[in-house]
Amino acid sequence: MTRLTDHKTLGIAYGLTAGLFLTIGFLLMLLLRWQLAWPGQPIPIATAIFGETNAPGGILLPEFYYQLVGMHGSVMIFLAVVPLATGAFGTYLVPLQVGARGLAFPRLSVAGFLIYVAAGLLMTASFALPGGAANSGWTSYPPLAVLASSGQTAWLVGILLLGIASMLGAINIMATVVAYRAHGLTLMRLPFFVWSQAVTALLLLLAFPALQAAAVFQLMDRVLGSSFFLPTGLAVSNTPLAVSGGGNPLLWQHLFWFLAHPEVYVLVLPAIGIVAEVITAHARRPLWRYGLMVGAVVTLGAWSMVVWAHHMLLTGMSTTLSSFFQVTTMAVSVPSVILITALVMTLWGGAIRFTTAMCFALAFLPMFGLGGVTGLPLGLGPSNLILHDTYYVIGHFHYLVAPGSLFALFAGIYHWFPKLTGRRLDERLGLVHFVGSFVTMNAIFLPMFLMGIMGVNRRLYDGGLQYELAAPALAWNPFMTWMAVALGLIQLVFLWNLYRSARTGEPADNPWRATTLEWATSSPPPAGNFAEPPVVTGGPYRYYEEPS
Amino acid sequence: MSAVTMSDREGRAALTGLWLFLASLVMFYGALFSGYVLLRAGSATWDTPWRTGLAAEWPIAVDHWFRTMWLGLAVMQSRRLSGEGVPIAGLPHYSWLVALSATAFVWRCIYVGGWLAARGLVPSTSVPLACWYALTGTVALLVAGGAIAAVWVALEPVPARQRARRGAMLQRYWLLTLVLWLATVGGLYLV
Repeated sequence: MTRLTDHKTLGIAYGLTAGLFLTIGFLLMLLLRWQLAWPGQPIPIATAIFGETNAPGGILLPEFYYQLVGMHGSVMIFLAVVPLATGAFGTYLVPLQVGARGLAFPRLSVAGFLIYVAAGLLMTASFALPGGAANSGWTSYPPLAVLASSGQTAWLVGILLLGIASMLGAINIMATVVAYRAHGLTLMRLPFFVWSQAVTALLLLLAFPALQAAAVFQLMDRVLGSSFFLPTGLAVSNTPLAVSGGGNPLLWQHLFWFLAHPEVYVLVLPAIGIVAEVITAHARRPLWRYGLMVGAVVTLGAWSMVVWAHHMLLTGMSTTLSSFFQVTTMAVSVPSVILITALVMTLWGGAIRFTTAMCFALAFLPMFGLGGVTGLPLGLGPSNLILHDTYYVIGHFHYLVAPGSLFALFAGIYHWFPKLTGRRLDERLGLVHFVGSFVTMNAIFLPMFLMGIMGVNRRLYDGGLQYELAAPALAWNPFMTWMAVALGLIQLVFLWNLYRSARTGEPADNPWRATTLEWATSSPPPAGNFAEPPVVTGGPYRYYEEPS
Repeated sequence: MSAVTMSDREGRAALTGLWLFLASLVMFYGALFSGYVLLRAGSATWDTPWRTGLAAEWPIAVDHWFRTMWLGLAVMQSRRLSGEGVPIAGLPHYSWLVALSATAFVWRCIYVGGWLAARGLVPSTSVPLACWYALTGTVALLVAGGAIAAVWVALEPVPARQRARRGAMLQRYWLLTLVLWLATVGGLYLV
């Protein structure tokens, strides 16, 4: 417990825990992909693991399939990628990059971590509850979610706890940046990664409460029998529900997306921050138009909070409101394009070193770009009408989060591993990991656009087998599933690399000759981070001072 | 370059943390309240207990105004708690007063909730009642949290300057709680 108050230990603890949840989320995905590739075919040993009630004869029941759908999204977003990006990278690196001895409130940060672990355990353990885990998708739309099994209650309590954990973590990051910066480290001298973490923290602080409020309402609906989200006259299987009614299911959607859209930027902004650090260090060039990038990331964060209802264009909103959200959605792409352009321009004239970290960072740019560009048709009413709730949406979102954010996180791990351990990760194994991940991720997610355009809906138990129009597209499913298996196997190379390099890797203190503050101390950093309080006299990226 | 002491940094960090926490609370309550507004605006009829004969039997609105005064008392005491001139020995006295006022507030919330429930007026009765429980319950939780914080400020042995700083922070929290309570009372009874 005492050691966890050291932000470095806590960051690693966040990383390991989130990595465990990432593995769980990945395994849930493999089960989903099996069912989609070979609907109704038994999965070996499924009965032994999940029991007769969920998988009789090894065949996943629809009820269990939808638990997997809901929990895959929830685990990946709330328990894996966000805690990795903010909890692990933010907690470990921000104090180092601002020249602080630690986080502003160490005990609060430990409390936040423990609450996050408790929420994660509660949500994943809900598979053991009668009726299983939450089965209404990660969006938990009512009325379905209000009527769902008891796992939904565990999900809601988990969300409330995660909101508290996020708040504690975000307050810590912001207070550290505001109050504990090194002498001379003005705001415009901060590494870009710190800016991305600060904006992310603000998003978590201001957006998560909306989902918490929605969770309170839905908990009351489920536990106390209220009708916040249940309209009058609701009937299930032709039987009227014995509730007062008078509620509005769209209220949940508004509150949910008020968080969930900024949540996408919570996933993406730290990723852009990591990629910026990696690109500038491995191209030996200061960030192109640093000030413009800071402005863009702040604008992007703020703008992300006024576009939420583009997820609801088909809910019958007025044309005025719909137009507003379509316009703001198109406009949010401007700061995103500025950021990507600035990162590409940073490469111009640089002495690029194609390390594994740099390969992942460079791959992030087109992957994020593809995810962003494919989002534009979803933000416009007419095209959204066609693409809504199809596999196109899944492809778009996963390009932002999987080959997008995850590639950035991999880049960050390869870049900062020497800082954590004093040793480098093996580059040959790293390149195998990169090439394998790049090929398999694209093989999994690219066909989803095609399937979506052909009209295949998401969240279908049989993958769309019942629809004739889907037949030509479904041939992709077995291929995508095998690629998902291959992606999992490639990650074993990465895990082996982590294990082996931590023990016998090439010793390295600052192998990239990076100039940000975290590299100004030894690797790994001592307790208190710096032998002497650092004094900053210039910007974070001083590669122009190098002899050519 | 001006010298910044560790105490200055701690103070700035604490103040930053407090403002962010309060901003988060505002967003949370704002989301609850906008839910109330959206539901009420979209409802053809909005039957409230105080418009269907309950007011004659139990003046809930009056009770709420009494509780507002209690909360105001807590805020005033917390102002004294944060005053630089308050002697250290007197601090626990004011803190206990704050805590007692707040506890009385929470007790009234529970009492009125129980009174309503005994008459079958529970959240499942109607959406207006569910809103009443959600909004007043949330403020009651905030008040309970403030009471715990007041006791903590009183009991933890810290230097006088740090205690005064915590008292000032607590005062901001109480002010926000009072504002949220006034919004609740106004939204439920006046509009």
